[in-house]
Amino acid sequence: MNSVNDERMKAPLILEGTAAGPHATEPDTRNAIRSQRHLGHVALQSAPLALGLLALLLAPVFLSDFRLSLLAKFLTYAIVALAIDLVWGYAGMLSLGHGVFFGLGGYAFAMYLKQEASRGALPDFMSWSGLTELPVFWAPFANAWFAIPMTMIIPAAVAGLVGYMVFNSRITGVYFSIITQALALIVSILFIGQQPYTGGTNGITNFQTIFGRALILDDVRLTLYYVTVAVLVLSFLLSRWLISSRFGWLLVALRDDENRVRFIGYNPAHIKTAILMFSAALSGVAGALFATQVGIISPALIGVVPSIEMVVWVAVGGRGTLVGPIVGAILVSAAKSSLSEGSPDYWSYYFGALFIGSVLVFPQGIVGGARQLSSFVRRRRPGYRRV
Amino acid sequence: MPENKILVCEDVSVAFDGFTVLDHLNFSIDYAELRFLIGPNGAGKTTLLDIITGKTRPQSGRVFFDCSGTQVDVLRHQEHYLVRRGIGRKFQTPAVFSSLTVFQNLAVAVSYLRNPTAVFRAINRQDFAKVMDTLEKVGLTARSEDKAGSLSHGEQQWLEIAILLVQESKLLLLDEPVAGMTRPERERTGELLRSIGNDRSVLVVEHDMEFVRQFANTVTVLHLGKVLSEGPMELVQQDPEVIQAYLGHNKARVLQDASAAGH
Ligand SMILES: Nc1ncnc2c1ncn2[C@@H]1O[C@H](COP(=O)(O)OP(=O)(O)OP(=O)(O)O)[C@@H](O)[C@H]1O
Ligand SMILES: [Mg+2]
Repeated sequence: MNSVNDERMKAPLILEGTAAGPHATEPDTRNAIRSQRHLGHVALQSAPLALGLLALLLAPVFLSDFRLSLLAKFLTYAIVALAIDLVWGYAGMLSLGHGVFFGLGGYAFAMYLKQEASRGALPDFMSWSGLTELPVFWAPFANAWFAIPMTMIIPAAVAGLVGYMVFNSRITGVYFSIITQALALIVSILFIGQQPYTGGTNGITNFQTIFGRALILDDVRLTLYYVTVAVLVLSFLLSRWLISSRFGWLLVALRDDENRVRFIGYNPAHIKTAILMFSAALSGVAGALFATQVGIISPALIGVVPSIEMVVWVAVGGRGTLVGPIVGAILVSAAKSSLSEGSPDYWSYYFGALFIGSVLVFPQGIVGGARQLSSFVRRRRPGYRRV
Repeated sequence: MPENKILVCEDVSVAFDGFTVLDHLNFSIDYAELRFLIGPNGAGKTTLLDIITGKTRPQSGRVFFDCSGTQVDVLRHQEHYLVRRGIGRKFQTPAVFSSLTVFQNLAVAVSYLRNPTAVFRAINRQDFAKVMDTLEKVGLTARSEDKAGSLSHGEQQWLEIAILLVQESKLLLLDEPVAGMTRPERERTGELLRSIGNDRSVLVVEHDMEFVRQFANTVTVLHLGKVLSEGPMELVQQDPEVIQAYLGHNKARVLQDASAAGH
């Protein structure tokens, strides 16, 4: 299921109810009906989205501080899930390494937060591991206005480099997945090994302030929450615009038949690299928002296992639907945190069952499945007429 | 390169694992020519198209494509570059984007990197008109909002030809364009090929002899990686070597079938 299908699903509503069909009415009336129905349908389709957004905006009123901070974390996951969906759900490339892009964004911003927390002194973990001077590449990150763009530029650059090498050698399918998984492994091992520069296994933590204001303050937390909501909404709108443009059709075309794309004159390596870079940049922002609100970024959060978890959010929610991955990320993460509050050991079993279940029983995911169901019901209603 | 040639293959040889598929082949096509390429299964027809489109590299030989006066060395460029210079191809098994609609299939093809940012904008008036005209030409106007995957085999063939038409390919390479079509569909396709052959060069690989007889002016017979015969269909048909090649092939087939049935 994808947006291309969405277009198709609009059709049944357009003339529904005009029993005599399109030819009985005058062209003008017909167009009027059509546009009215179309508006009606857009409203119908946007209603759940609007409700969802309203819920997110009002959440701070109803949720405890603890729950709100959890929700903020889940929303950063939702941004990554959306980013993976563009690459996997639309362009058909299963990335098992998005934790890396998420992590690079997280680390880039953590370098700013940590330096602000250290107030000019050497960050604590550096002095513990024997450094006496701040590494050169750390210095510019003391400035938030340098760090913020870097949360996107660094992941995008890595994605561009890896993507171009892989795609230019025409590596596709499962080989691409394996390479991205290897990337996640390599980067997490590298970050563990370079303790003086990355904080090693512990990662970077103990942040104090952002733009000089304490991170524990209620209004700071609330602002960060709304910034996360805003980034999610913006990413969603941008992605929706992208996939409904001809570039988005081209992504679906790549998924259908990469060779044919080559034979209409495009270099698939360029298109694939471009979308991977965009996706990596989105993931990087998510990582930065995560590090800021959760208070830590570490190799355990960006390696192979989290990367696979990210893919599961997309699968459960419904790949190729944009809304699905957002829903999937929030629901699966919420289930994880409530289930592992009780029995942390069993979570991996639940998780495995969930994944297998979603692949076998609901291959379209929650949102994909729901859409299929609703179009099925609509089709069976009397008066339905395909245009 | 001679004046009126759009494509010249000189002394092209291809072997897969020591098995020769094209054997010092010489072959050329004129501007605005409709050429048919026939030959028994495994003669190397599809392989020749692979060479011309940059998909396969030959062991030896030279291939040149004339792009409005500039000579393009085919063997030095990648597929997508050659497509942009004007070599369009329809594959033996239809290749269309099955989850896109018919319209979308053409919309992504129409403004292919004339300008790399064009795909981020809506289709312009001119390209839209071109797409609609082409749909009309191949008779798919009524299906424009349907998924390409829901089209019949024959309609997918037309859609793939339409893709080449909106791209304004200068040389169209069509691998078995009427395979899987009903008789009336074949007739329509034949007429279509004739009409597009007026201002473009078209190379049609075909097995259906009746179709070839009906629509071909010039026919090239490929056998064992070599051009066996070339000329008007009436003459080629009477060429003893051609008869021998097809007959031998059929005999072998008949023998094979018989022995298979015997077991
Ligand atoms: N990539 C390849 N690797 C190995 N052998 C190949 C390859 N491509 C083609 N061949 C062999 O080359 C020979 C010619 O194949 P080709 O597809 O060009 O024949 P054709 O004339 O198109 O036949 P058909 O009419 O059956 O489509 C066949 O024997 C085929 O098995
Ligand atoms: Mg063939």
